[in-house]
Amino acid sequence: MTHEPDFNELTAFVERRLDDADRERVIAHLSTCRTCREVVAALTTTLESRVPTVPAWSRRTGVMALAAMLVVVVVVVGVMSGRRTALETRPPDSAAPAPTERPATPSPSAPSERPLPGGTPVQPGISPREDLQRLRGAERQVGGKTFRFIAGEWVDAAYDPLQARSVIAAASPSERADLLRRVPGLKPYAALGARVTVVFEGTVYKLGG
Amino acid sequence: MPDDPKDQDRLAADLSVLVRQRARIRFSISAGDFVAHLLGQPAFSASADPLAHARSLHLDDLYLATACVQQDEAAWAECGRDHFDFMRDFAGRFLPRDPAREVTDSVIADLWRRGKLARYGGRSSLRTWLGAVTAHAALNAAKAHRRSPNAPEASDRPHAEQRTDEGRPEQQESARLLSGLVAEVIAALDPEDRLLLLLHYEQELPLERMAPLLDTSKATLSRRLKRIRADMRQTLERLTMQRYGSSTTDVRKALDLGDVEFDLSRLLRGTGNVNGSGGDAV
Repeated sequence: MTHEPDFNELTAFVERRLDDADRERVIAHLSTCRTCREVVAALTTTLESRVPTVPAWSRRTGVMALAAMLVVVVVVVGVMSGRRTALETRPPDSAAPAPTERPATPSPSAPSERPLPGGTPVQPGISPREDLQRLRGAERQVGGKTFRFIAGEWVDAAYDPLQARSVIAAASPSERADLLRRVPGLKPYAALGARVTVVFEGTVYKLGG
Repeated sequence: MPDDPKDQDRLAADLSVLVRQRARIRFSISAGDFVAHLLGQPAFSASADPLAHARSLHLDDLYLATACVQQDEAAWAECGRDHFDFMRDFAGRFLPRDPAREVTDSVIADLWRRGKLARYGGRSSLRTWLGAVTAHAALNAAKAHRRSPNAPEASDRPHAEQRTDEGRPEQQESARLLSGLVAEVIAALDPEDRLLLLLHYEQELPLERMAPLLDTSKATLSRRLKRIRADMRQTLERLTMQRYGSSTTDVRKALDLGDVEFDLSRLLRGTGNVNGSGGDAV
């Protein structure tokens, strides 16, 4: 006898958007229904798990390549004009929404109120803006991984936006805390700063908040 | 849903604010109409906190889907631009190109002509939901093709899909008996343990893919799988002693079978009958 899956429940399960009671119920069903397991398995190997915080256009063109080009252009302009150029840290949802997706994160606070990325303590006598410039293009090694500071975010060198991997995003502080509780292996990478993209055990984690 | 009309008006106003924040109102359906549509959904009337429920939804995707259901052509064009190529590519993971395209076109036709897009509830992204619908249709088409007279001979199929009715009669009987025992042991597992086992051995999901799904780490899953297999061995041992008066090892030697891990994988993917209450037989 064929069973017609409840796609709303299965997809909410895959995207981890169910409450505990619903999640238990779906797990109990999946443990007895091969049809639904096949759908979940198919989705798990292919799709993003959460609405991404990076607009679709930047995934398609490659965040790292584009950001690297911007760094080069800004440095060249700064050297030629003899003026310091501010690095505008792009908050999680400030870019125009992607055609089908709208990030749900709240607006960021003003730059002067935000903590420095990387948790780097502000050097006495140096403004946060100057510290950001110092971090631009910086590299850090954490747990055998290399991270580069690009557009206000620490990005794992292993991250390829064009590769088909599950993506789990934590946009708010509470989501971030919840994710770190559930996946404690992410904690060393989360300590890098407010915004981190890391590839961990085959899944891309985008930590904001 | 509140009973007091004043509370209902307040809810509608709050929903209207939320909708304008989270959805781009760009089609013929207005924000007010969309809010009215949301309030008419069973999930809202059943929810103790409709506003919290609304906040948990992908409102922009739901707005797009609602406009499509109301036959807004601009909405349908946007849906097509954003999702139809993905659906075709996704179906191509399970079927050759031409059948994949046929299946996807059939899914798209159902979504438009039969209004099946109305079933999208907004709890996940529209992309994931469409992926699920496409995967289900493609997997069904692949199964139907394998069952058809035109399907390749059994010997051409991957080994895991070959039926256990190959080999000597006593091996066939042995495999059937073991299959039954293993199915019994699996059916007695805790649901999450059973799901872990089936996702790994039947669906061949690697542990790193399963870890986020089951809200845990790969290392924890690995330990858990080890524990489950050890428990299963003990239970199998007990059952074979009870039923055949010999240990599992002796039974396996006598029946000329491989080790539990290999059988588990082959049994669950190609031939296993894992049945529990509800759902369909595997």
